[in-house]
Amino acid sequence: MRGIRFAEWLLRRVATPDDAAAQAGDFLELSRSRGSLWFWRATLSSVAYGGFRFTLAFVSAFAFSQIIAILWNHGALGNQPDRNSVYTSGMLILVPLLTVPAFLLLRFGWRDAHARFSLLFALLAGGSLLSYPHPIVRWIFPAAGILTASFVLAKVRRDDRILLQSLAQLGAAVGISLGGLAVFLLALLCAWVVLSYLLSFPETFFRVAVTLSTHPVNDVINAFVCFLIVRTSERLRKPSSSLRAA
Amino acid sequence: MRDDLNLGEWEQIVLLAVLRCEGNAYGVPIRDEIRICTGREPATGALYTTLDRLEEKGLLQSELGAPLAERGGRARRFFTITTKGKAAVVRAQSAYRRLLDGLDLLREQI
Repeated sequence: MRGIRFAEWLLRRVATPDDAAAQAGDFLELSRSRGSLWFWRATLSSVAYGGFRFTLAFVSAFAFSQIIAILWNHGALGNQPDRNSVYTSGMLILVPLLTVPAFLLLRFGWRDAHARFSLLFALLAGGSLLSYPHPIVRWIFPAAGILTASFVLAKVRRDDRILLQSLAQLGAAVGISLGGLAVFLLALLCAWVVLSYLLSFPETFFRVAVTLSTHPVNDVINAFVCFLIVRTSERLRKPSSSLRAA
Repeated sequence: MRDDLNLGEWEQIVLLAVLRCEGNAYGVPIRDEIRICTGREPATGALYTTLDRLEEKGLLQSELGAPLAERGGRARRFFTITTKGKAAVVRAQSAYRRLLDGLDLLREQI
């Protein structure tokens, strides 16, 4: 069968390498009686099915975290509106932190230890970073996080990969926040260079910097990095298959 | 994880097909078994996704066989049902049996 490597490469977009190889092998076996057209139809159908499930969960999780972040920025969650301070804005902190657990919960459900552990990180990190001005909320978030931690601790002890994966997720979440910050700093630098020559007007310069940093391109960067995080976390969840004894 | 997992109809079909394949349960015979017994051609994506999900739930476990030349050097992924999987199927089937008891629907069909 020509193109089986390409078919396997396609299947690897939605499955682990071991699973993709096994599926491609199955399709190859069946295509002997059903023809090559069936082989490609089965491959594309499998990729479309897996891709649709992933995309649906990712888009829903990202949209959910965007809505929460927008509500936070407008002060609709019992907080002070946060329109001028970009670093502490919900967009930069909440979107990456909430997308990963929301995705994992949608894909694998509340029973999944990875999803719960990811939620724990979101609660702890988000609560610590965003609840600073609110004494009551400041304690509720970490308390919820600690409760979740104790709830999933037994699972984590049994499976070290969960801990490793969650740490990777946390690193990636911090990375995306810094990525957003980098865009802000870059915008600030550009604005400073342009405005210091043209206007010499610090207030305008700051306003332009904020406008640039909240540009939709930030959302695109956030969405892309969130996509990479959830792809990695989905892959890390499943270890390589064990080999059958001969 | 709770032990009283509720299984959907499709999940039960896949688990029963794995059981029927007795030690040779990889994608191809599982698909054949479903086709022969139910008369339905399973959608490829749905079958593999369900097998994955059942493994996630701890109802199935899988292992890779040896690479085979007729599969272009690719291994088969063999599935076996776990004790928890068997218990889930038995529980679901018992519920169906209790509901069917006294109705004689199967005899009417014959």
